[in-house]
Amino acid sequence: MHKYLLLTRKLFKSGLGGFATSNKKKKRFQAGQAVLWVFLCICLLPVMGMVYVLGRESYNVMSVIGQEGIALSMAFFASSVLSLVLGFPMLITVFYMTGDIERLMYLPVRPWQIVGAKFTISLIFTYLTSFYFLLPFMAGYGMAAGAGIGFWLLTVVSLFLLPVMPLVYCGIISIILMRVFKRAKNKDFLTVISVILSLCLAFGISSVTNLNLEGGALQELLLKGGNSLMGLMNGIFPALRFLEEAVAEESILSLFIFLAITAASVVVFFLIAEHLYFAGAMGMRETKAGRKQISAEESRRLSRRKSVMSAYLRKEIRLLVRSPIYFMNCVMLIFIWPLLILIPVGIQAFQNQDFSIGDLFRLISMEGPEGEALVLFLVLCVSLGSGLFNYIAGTSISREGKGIYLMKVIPVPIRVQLRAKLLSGVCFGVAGTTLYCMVFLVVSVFVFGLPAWTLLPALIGSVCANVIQCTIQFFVDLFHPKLTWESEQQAVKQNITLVLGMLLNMAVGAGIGVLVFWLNGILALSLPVYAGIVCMGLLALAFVLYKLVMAYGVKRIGELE
Amino acid sequence: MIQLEHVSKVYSGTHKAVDDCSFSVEDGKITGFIGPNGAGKTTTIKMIMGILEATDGNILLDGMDIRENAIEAKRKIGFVSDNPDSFLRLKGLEYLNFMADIYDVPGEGRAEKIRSMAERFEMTEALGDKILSYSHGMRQKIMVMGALLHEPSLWILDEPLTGLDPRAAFELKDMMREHAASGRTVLFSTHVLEVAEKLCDKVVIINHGHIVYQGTLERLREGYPEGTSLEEIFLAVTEHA
Ligand SMILES: Nc1ncnc2c1ncn2[C@@H]1O[C@H](COP(=O)(O)OP(=O)(O)OP(=O)(O)O)[C@@H](O)[C@H]1O
Ligand SMILES: [Mg+2]
Repeated sequence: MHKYLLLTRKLFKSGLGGFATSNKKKKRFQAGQAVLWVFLCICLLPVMGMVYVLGRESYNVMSVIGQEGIALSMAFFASSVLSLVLGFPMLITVFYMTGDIERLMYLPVRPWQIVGAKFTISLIFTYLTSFYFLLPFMAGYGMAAGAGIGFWLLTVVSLFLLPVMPLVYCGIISIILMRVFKRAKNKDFLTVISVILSLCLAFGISSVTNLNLEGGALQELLLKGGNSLMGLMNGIFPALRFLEEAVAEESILSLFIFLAITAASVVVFFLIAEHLYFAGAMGMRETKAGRKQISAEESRRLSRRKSVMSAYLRKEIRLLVRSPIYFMNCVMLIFIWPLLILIPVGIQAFQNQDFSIGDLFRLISMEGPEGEALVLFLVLCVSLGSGLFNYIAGTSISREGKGIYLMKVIPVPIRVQLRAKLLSGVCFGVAGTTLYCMVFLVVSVFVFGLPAWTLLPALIGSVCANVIQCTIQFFVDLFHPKLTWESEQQAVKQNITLVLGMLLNMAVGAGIGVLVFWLNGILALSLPVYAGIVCMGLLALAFVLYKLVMAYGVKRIGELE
Repeated sequence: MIQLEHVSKVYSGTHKAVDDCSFSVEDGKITGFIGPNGAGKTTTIKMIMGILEATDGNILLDGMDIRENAIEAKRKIGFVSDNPDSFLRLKGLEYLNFMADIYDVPGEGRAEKIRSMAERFEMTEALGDKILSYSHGMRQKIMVMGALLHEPSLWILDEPLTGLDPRAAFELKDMMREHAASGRTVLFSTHVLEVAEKLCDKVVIINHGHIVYQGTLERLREGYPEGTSLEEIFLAVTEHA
């Protein structure tokens, strides 16, 4: 127990996965860091306000029919699913992929102590997100209910207990997975696939949940006890019922039952970890090494001379996609976002038999310019949305880490290197948004009679939107890169600048979207002309931002040492 | 030819890691850069490479200031850093080709050059694997190969021999000798005094950021009684500063 606490404290100080990091340079950044945090909190306030209102309203609605407990169940369930989704990639990387594991494995500690310490730190990180949503909700709920001190006390306790169970699930799954596939050839790939699957699963669950909230489904839900949602909830988190009872009815007994179940699950988890963790962790340290001579053919192919730009770009992309941590955090979403939309749609189609895929396309087969305008606008929005999925340019300086000095060693102008980094982000963004959109549009042109001229503004607008978003992220990363890290996880996960960049992306994206929409109403031009003007505007903006970021970047890299 | 004139480096406003260093690294010679841990060797080398900005003083490479003719100057240098853990997810061969492209090594003859170098360092079989799967010494070797592929005239190597097996160390030392014999420049840092003794035409000894000796080892020996070991001399020199 003592060693467990010691490890936990040590890990907490150095952040996830950065056991024994030296914090020499920390002091100087602290002022800047604080400003960033304050700024972040201010940005997040509106969402918290909305969640507060949601809590209040759901109490008001449900209490009329005397079922306010259901509102709580839903909130707890949603929060648990969120912890599950965020927790799985986090635990699998923290347990198996951070660089500190090797250093921890030779210490005289038991496996469960390592896992326990890592688990505790992950739990603390999970609290950040779960508090952020649940706290305002519970506040709204409690205020509406005019609850007494007992409610608030129980709420606080439940907030701390709630994320434990989902994380235990994630932990058990990841430990078993890694043990089972200990001998798998390509574990990086395995991890990525399992994370993608878990994401899809979670989205499936949450979209089933959403459906039931729509329209009259709520009444139905209350009438039929054996509803699918309740069934699902009880199936996945059977113990949640007790927590809901504890808070809604201020029942201490229920709370103790929940506490006991949670504690038992943690013990089971630690027991599993004690037996299986090291085997999996040791397997993880082995990289595939064929040690066989490269064929003359391949050697010749690789040795063909490339331009500096293309060589650098290739290097960037290889380093990016070959690291599962980078891939999952920076690249993955940009490719799988359509899946996350298609799953709910698919489930809906499956549930309502009268729903047909044709409905989806009815929108665009609308006659006349409105339909075309809508399509173009959607393409623009999707492309601007890439800022939320694509963190490649936005981490390209931080990812260099201590190796940043190599940028200054090689005889390639900083300007060229920066251009390649920016380009790597734009390439993936374009592949993930423009490409999908163009496929969709081309199909629409042939099948639904969308005019062919729309392809050109869609292409230009989409590419420009990607350039704009990447440039903004790139600027933020240059401004405050995270260069001192021990494991890749720290570079891209515990990088608060990244969140800042994302918020800026959101603001700019929304700004452009609203402006384009608004001007369309005011100017009342014909659509081709208006689309042309918007494209010009986007081109100009992208160009100016690009020039600015290059000028700033060259100066900034010189300052970093 | 590398010249340092009154070079100083202050870390984060207070810590003076290198203090008013002046020395030159001459063509046709192997210059060893020795000193205890934390003496300022890596710091000095990083300033020569333009990775760190010198707080004071001038550094000239073949008469060029690296701050002014950065690209041209860097192309002449083959640099091996003290930390071989970079580009870990590239395959050995991919890394070498990346370096070759970056340093404008022509396409024809490149594959042969890589092959002969790999044979010299016994790395032929490992080239198809990711650097991540290499041992420390193998990583060191691949970094050395990457740095020398473009036949730079100036070699700057920060502890190039740590972790190398006797065969590879022998090859690298041999290459250094050949290089210096053809009238070009080698500067390398090391802790191994025997290596310095056998290999270097000149040594520069640094301690606590000060240059405490520069010149040949024979001349350094003259100041001490017959039979004093190099180790004892080194300890004496670095103690008094
Ligand atoms: N990034 C840094 N920030 C602050 N101080 C540093 C930094 N890097 C090195 N130092 C300090 O500068 C001094 C010289 O370090 P340097 O790395 O040049 O030593 P070295 O001679 O290469 O040592 P070794 O033989 O161990 O490699 C040391 O006191 C060290 O603490
Ligand atoms: Mg050093």
